[in-house]
Amino acid sequence: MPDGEGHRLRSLGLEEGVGIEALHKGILLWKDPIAVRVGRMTIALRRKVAAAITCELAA
Amino acid sequence: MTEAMPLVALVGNPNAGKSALFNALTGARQKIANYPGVTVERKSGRIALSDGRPVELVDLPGAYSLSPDSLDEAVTRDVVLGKLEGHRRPDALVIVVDAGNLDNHLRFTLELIALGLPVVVALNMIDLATRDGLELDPAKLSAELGVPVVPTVAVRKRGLDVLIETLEPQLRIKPVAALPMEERKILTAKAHKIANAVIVKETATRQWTRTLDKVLLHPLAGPLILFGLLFVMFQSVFAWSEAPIGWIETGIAALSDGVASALPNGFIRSLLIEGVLAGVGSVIVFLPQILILFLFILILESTGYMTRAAFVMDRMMASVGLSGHSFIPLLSSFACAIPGIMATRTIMDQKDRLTTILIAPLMTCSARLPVYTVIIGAFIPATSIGPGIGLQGTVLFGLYIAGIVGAMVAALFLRRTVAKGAGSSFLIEMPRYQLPLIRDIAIGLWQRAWVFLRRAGTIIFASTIILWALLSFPKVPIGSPMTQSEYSVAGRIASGLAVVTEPIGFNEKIALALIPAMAAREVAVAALATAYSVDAADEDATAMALGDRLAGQWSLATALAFLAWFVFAPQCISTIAVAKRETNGWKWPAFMVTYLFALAYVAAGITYWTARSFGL
Repeated sequence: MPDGEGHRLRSLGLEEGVGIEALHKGILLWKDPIAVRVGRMTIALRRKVAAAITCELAA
Repeated sequence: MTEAMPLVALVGNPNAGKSALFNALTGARQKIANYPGVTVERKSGRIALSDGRPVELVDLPGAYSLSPDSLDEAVTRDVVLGKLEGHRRPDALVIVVDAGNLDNHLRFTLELIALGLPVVVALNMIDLATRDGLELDPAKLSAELGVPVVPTVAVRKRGLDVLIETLEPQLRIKPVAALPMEERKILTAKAHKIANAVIVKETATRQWTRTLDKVLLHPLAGPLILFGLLFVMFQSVFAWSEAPIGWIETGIAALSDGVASALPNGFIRSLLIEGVLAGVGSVIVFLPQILILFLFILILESTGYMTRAAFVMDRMMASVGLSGHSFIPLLSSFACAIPGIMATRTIMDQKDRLTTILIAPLMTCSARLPVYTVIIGAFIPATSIGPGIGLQGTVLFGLYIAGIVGAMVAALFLRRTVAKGAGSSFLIEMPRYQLPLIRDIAIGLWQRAWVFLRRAGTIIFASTIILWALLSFPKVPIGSPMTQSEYSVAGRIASGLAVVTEPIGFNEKIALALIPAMAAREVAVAALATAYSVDAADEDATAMALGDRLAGQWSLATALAFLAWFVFAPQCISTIAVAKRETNGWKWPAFMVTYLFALAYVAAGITYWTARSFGL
């Protein structure tokens, strides 16, 4: 993932420790892009970038 | 010496409702210009304090932080830091935050407060936050931030008076030295802590945005709805514009008759009727279509749907090496490539952005409509080829598709050659849905109409008059076998050019029309109208519609080649100029002009000779 993208992700609220929820997956037969809920925002991103984010299942 | 008017800047995250607040505060009295040295649009207006003193209010581009990701954000940072050359530093800031998204917006607020400028925070869209079940304590927020906080609902004009009252004492405060920049992590933690402290109560309510997104971002329903919307949009451009176009045409004809009866036959009358009214008039008639197209784009943007459209289109755009970010600029380019190219500034990846700029002129802009409509009207029979499907409409649709396909192929090619780079990326915030506000849409439409009319009044007006003069002089001697337009200065230039254009089926009059069409494509119609009406022997022939006249003089092969030419030709100096500014040099616009002219020439040639081989 390019540096700029990491910076942008953080600007959009994707910080370490933030809770996220998957909302939408892909269009037609493609599984890309996806939309996730971060805090009170909805963010759209591609799977390639999403793969670089580590998440754990909330209890 | 009088004191300079204080300058206040509106600043905040994208989607905080900044522009709505700006519109509500300044009304329609806005000045649009560019920031010095960059093409970022600078919107400013005046507001009056309670004692009547005027204050200049400037609407800065939305930003997430003071470390910019895009050109827009860089302008915001430079202005608030007082580092933008030729632009003074604001005396105070109004920081706009979305009450429903404090966790994220407060981080930028904290960064801005640390700058030391006097500040008022507008806790905006408080009604939507309440709707979503959030109860906030503005006094607590004010105490935590150490600056005044005013709850506002920009779209309902609530809280504006209090905002201005609160701003007033801030203008008397001198800025203090900036605090050292804090680490992002610390700021984020602080922002979260404050947000949590300010939220009094949070109840789960039904969230409209989620429900709507389930449908609009559905893997199958999403694209179907988007294509349905686009179909309705382009259909409406034609269906709704018929009546107003008729009114404008009637008005121009009446004016033309009035001039004819009021003035004696001669130089001035010829200039007014054949030059000004025939030329400018043939362009003004397209104002309704342009406004309808912009109406749809403005509504899609202000409801928050545009980013969903980008989401739906992303994967399809990825197949030619672009991303959903390019969809918005390209859709705007259907109205005009200039705002389209300017909208590419939000694309973070530079190669993506360059590719989008280079292909934007291939989207069929509204300036091409006059050309297409006249030629199609004259050469394509108005027959039906199926229930409710006309041949003329289908040809027009085909021209739009030809542009899109051309753009996709060009993108694919460019991304593998000159604009090679890392793969495209897609990362965007999707705002909550909102009902569009008629006032905001009206202000947006008025600004577009004004830009178009100013263009018609200046560039088109001037080029039509120059062309008329070049066509009218010197006068053809009586008894000469040549027509007036052939004998004139313009005719002599055109016969030189025709050497190049004849192989693709363009006669001298077309070659002639292509020159002023460099100023703006729609001038081609005005130029043809002027060229043919200068030759018209009598009054009746002058009044004859351009389409009918062309139908008698051009072969179908020539007409089709002319259409093909305009699908690709980069015929608009303003677009080239904006591409130069946006890419910081002549290299890319020169490349753009060359590849588009080459495409246009080849496409017109292939069309002409194919049509000829079918005996058309």
